[in-house]
Amino acid sequence: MDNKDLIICRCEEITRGQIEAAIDKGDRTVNEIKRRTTACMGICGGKTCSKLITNIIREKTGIDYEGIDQNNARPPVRPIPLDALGEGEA
Amino acid sequence: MSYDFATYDKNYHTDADVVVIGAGIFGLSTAYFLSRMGKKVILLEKKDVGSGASGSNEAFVWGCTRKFPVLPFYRFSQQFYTKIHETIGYDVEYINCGGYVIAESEREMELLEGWLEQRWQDGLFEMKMVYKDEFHKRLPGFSDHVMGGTYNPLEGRVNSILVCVGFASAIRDLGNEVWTKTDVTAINMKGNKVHEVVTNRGTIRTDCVVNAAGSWAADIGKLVNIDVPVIPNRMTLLVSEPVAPFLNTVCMSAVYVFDEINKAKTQARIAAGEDVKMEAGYTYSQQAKGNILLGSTEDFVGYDRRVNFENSKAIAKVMGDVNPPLRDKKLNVIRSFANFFPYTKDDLPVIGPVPGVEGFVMASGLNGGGMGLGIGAGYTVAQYCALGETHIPIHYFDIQRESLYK
Repeated sequence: MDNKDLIICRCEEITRGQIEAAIDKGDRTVNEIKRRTTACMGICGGKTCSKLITNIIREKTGIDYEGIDQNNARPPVRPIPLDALGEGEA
Repeated sequence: MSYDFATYDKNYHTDADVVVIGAGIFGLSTAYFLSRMGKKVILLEKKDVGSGASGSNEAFVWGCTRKFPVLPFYRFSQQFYTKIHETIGYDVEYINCGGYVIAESEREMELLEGWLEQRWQDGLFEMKMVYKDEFHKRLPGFSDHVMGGTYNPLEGRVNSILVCVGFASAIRDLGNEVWTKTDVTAINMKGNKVHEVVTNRGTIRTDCVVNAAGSWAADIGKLVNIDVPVIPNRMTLLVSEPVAPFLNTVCMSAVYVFDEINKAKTQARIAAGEDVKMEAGYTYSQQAKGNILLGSTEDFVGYDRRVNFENSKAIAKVMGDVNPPLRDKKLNVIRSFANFFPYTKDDLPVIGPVPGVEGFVMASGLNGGGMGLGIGAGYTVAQYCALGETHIPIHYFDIQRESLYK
């Protein structure tokens, strides 16, 4: 399998190729890549792929880890059904 | 690649015909149209492209509840979206699905009937009433208590993040620059004219500065000693897991149209012992990937961007009440976000020149209408900067109008 077809964000099924294309378009932060590709926007909220994406940015651009802004964490931490949330039983 | 990433050199000097501050939809479209008109533009953004309200909203291309003076912006934007992929070169997942304002009582239906006639006077002749039987036939999935509503076939849905990313990419494709993570620290004047914009990435010599900072427009105004009456109105939304197409439309409740209804619902919530600091109403749209955007609450809390439990709970309750199948099927909420609509007292934007500060142009305050109005509004500001006159009248949006301050 081509390296480019590797799935980086499992929730949204975003491949390494799509992440690299976003970097080629000028994206340099996890948030920017999230906005362009929807990686990190799935059910896990980027718990796994944000680290992998950070690595790919570093590999491709040489920017240090500290210089790569991470994605905004968004509640809820795990999926919650609408009825439970509406009744305030979360 | 024109994208200048590496430099944070305070001593860097460059120049531009126009400097646009704020990479939300208003600033992006202004910079895009100026680029198409052959101007050298630099677009400055404090965080990332679309990191404010333009990248996190209901994703409506919506106009039927907007006031008369901004409707030409809506017409322009709506038409632009139909060919946006070909024009700017990026697909933004636009569909022209039509949209409803729904009535949850006889009283709301009556109010909507009267309101619809006013809307025809304002030129929205496409709109019409849809009554209960027809409504439920068209849109299975609504609770029986919904009486129908107004239908506007012009409304649509878009991926608002891709709109922002698409415009930013198009601006760079045209050879102009978008500087992200850039703080504007000063705007230097020469006499009463803007002369330079100073940032942490260098200084730009220019004769024209556009303040498209949205909810932060007042901060930019302070740099030239003017008071900009735009304040942040926090809007909270929930995002569901991707599911099969549920309703092929966009909707909102009459709460957002009539103060009377809003007050009545607030009273009912107080009586039920609920937290009433926020305004809660129903908004619905579904993204191309299948995620449903469930909305929404609005409240005034300064710049606190956190999503709190009360607001999430209120939204989940409203959604379950209006669309019971979503509750019954235990639709999962996977994300939530909050952002700030640039609110003005008269629900009209602030657009145009500022007396006493030559070359400083306002372009903020679309207040939740950015996706539906922003492209037309950006085109208008671009015209103003490039030509000194506009197709669409902008005198309604004068920063000195009384209704902004009352």
